[in-house]
Amino acid sequence: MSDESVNNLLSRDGAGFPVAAWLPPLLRATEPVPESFQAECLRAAEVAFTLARMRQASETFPAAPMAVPAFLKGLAAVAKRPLEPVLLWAGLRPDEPAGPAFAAAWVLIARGLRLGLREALVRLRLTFADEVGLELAPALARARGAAGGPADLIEYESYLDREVAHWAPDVLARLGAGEQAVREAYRQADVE
Amino acid sequence: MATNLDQLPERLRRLDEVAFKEFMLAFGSRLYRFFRSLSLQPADAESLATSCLTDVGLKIDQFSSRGPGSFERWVLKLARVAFINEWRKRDQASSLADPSHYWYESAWLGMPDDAVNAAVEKGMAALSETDRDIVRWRHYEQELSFAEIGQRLKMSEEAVRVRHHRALKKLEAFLSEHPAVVAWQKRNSRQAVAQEMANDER
Repeated sequence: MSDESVNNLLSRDGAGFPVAAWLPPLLRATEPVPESFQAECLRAAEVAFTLARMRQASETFPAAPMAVPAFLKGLAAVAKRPLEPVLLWAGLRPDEPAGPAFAAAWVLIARGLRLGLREALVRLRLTFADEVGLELAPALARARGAAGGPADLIEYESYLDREVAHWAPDVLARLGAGEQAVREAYRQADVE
Repeated sequence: MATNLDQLPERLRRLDEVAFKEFMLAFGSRLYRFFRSLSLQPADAESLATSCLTDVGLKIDQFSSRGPGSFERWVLKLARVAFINEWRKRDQASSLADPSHYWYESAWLGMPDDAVNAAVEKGMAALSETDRDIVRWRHYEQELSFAEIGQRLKMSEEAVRVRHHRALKKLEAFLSEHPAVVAWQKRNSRQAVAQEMANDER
């Protein structure tokens, strides 16, 4: 190729590249999908299927005063599904102290299970109650006295409202930030 | 065996585990390429595609069938919403160039099918290794400049430009006569897309 024709070619290359206009978009649209992506798709299938089964299980699950980790473990057991992929997907670390990151991960799962905001918040508080060593079931049974019968989440909620006043400031700060994260995520999801 | 897309929603609703896998594999690559065609970077396209897949699996009870093709259109709708939300999270100050439903539907319907993908793969395989690298780096995930490609290959920027041009010309010659690509071009014309949308509405 002569210098002149190369220069000719190069000068056209920048502004009006003389190959068919459909070719560059076609190349981009047929870009090979990363090899790891298929494994990601199968992981997504496992998470969606497990959450759907857990959601089904939640319809008959008792409204026990369980912290988030115990609640999820219980649901997964009833659904007969491994919980680990769901925890990994959401980024929830059950062994770490709860806070905004825990709450943000919990919201992902709670929304997947179609829990309302109120239940998501109560279960977050129950997680903190567990962390501070409050044994809620016997405490609530004592508070209810002779009323008897199983308590529901709303009763736990009002009992916890009174209890949190006695918690340490750092726990209260984490709880506040966590609850804020839950409310914000629900608000955002409702907008979307 | 190919997945019957119109039967998938009912199987997903029944919590058929195999249907979940079939759905993810049938739509995963399409969603990835769809988001790439909307200019998302590979890692972001991957993440948004898997998030959409999970979302569809969890919202399947909200889908109501309106005949053949309606499931695919519903998936596209969720993908469109996911993309717009992602866009807003990233850059709330800027607006989308053309956020119309038509625009997304054109992008979705205009995506090459498996036969076109195979044709391009074949065309790429016929190039020399160096030419293939140049085309990949220029047009696939990294979209490098000619100067950057030159640095990688220890070639001048000008030499890379010329090889790139010749490689595209070879691909053009092969693909422009390939039946799958010819069919894709016809399908992809705006007129054909508009016609298909009009047919769907009838």
